[in-house]
Amino acid sequence: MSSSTAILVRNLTKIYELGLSGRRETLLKIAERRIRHPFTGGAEPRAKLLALDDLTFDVEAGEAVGVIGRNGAGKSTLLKILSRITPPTKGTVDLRGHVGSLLEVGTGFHPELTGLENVYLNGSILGMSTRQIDARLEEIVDFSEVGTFLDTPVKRYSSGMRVRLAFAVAAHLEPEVLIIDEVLSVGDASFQSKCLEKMRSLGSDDGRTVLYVSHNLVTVENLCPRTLLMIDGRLAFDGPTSESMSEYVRALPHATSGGSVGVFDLAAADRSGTRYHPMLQRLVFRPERGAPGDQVRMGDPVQIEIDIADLAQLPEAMLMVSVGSLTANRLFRFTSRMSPLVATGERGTNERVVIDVPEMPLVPGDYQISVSVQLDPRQVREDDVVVDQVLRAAEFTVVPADVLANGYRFGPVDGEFRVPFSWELRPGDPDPAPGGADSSTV
Amino acid sequence: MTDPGPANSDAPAALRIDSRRHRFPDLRELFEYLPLAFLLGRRDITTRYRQTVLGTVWIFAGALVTAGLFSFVFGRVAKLPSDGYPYFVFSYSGLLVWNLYSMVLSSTAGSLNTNGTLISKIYFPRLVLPLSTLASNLLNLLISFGILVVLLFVFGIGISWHMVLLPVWLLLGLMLGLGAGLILASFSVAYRDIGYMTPVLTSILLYLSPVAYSISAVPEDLRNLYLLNPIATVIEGCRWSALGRDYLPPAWAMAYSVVFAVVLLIAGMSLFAYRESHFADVI
Repeated sequence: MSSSTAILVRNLTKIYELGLSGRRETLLKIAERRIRHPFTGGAEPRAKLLALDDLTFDVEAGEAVGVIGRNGAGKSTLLKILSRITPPTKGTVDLRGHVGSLLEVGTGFHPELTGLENVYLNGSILGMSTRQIDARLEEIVDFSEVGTFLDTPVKRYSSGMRVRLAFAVAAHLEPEVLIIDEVLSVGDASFQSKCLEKMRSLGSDDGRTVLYVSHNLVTVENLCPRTLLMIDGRLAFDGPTSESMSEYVRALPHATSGGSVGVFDLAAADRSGTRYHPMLQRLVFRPERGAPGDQVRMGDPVQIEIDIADLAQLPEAMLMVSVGSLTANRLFRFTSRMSPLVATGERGTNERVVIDVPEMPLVPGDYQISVSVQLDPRQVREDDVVVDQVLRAAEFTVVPADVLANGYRFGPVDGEFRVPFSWELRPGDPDPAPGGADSSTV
Repeated sequence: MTDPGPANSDAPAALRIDSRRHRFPDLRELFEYLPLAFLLGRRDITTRYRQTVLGTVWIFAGALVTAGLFSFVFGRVAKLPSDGYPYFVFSYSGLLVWNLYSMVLSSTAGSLNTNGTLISKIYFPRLVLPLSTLASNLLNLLISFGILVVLLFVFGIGISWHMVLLPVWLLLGLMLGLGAGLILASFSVAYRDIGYMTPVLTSILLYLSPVAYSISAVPEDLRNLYLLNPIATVIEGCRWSALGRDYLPPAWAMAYSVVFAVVLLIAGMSLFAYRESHFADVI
């Protein structure tokens, strides 16, 4: 182990025995098994899950390394082992330096305790001493923006306040090795970018080693020059973040392989109200106007096809397609009031609406599409307005791309959309106010 | 890689993570985490009595009511002997250590399942959780002891030099409760039966212990067998100290109780250490 290696992982393997946690056995059952199978102990061979498969890698002190992969690829298991929450089945990890891990913000917050009491409790749960918390209290409170409510029980906080306070405590941990799991996805957009800024400074200050696990590719790219890609518990790629990401996107299942990615069956979808008349049949998401898929590069064209049964019987019906983030707030929508749709088919047949978006304006992230067929609220009873509706009919991911052709990568700090613009410098007032002349930086 | 020279003695200690299980808790690390145990204990105390009207009155109301009930049922109705002492203070002095033992046992045994989210999200020596429950139990003990002193004067018994040894009996009661509690806690994560089993076993043991009656009510020929229950010796010892009375269990029984308490505590701690790394997988 070189003296500058902070994390040294060798042949790390973790096998979960399925059913061990899901079904807790009662003593009676075990006794019964022992009696029936006195020799073998009667334990049924349990299904095993290979969560981590022989991982080996090193992280140098002061490095910021990202870990990406789909859900179930083993990212969280790796973090849990590195944070000593669960032991490996085989292999070793050598850690140099104090390790702090943020697997979830706000763990251990107690609703009955005040904000201040929770700061101390949560801080010491995360491994800070009372003296360290004293020293940083002011910073923590400032960062959290909950100042005047510090002596109020946390149960009276809004969920946003709770999350901000929790993140503030966590962000002021100062271990030599910091392990972070997607804690950035908290709070509103402005607080998120504040968190991101804080994370960046945590990583760049005084040579702290950071291991950042996420499936938000943009934040990984912002924080980490090097990234490990995990697929099915294996370390599939270890190298510069941009290469890891291309590997990641390449490894994602494509329509050609499975045939179903990007094709969403709406006829079978869960409809919240039973009185809906299921007209919506199918949604197909076509990145680059090509084969179905659920990953689109920012700035690329997209086509969305929606099959609707028997549209002709309701010629006055309105189609509404809205796109939102995964937290469900609507970002934009298309309706047939903006651009009329006239049913051309005969009654009893399917019609296909093809929506063409020439350029994906959303910044990289995960999004969802909701679709509904509605009647004019001025002409029917309120209860009859929605004829059919499928919320979260489809989900898709916008992946980073060099939209501006200059290497700039859009991320959450840029907002939610890219708005095309141009600017130029012109000669200003002959007598400029001090400091107001040069505004070329953003 | 940049510095292949001799190992830097100032470098932070390396920590190795592997699949080995521990045979005994890492006491030095535990010591570092004592402030956390203290804070968790304080959390338990402050949250328990917040939004209550009577607050800490509830701490000693329980013991007083039990002592009153015992006086009526066993003293008046069943007329069990209390060796000349007022039944109320007699049973209260036994309850002092019995409550300590049984409360420590049950809160230790349940401490892991009530803090499941902490275990599955954050690393700390898991022993912190059972230890943190001691805070509220020790507070209870302190208040109960204050009431005992008041009762001793109210009933005109006063305080004798025997009282000096009271902490020894209380410590034994604590060790027995903690040791047994840790063994139960070690299994409580995987087998939730423990949660139901604990109160049943505790109430059985209550009747097998000289809390509501004096050991003199136990037939002579059964007494040695009876004293194999270590908590029986501890209760009678506690009474010897509290009431200043003459009866003390035989020397062998006292030595046996001390050994039993020490062995039970060590066994509890090492079983706990052996099983703790897997708690997060099962909880």
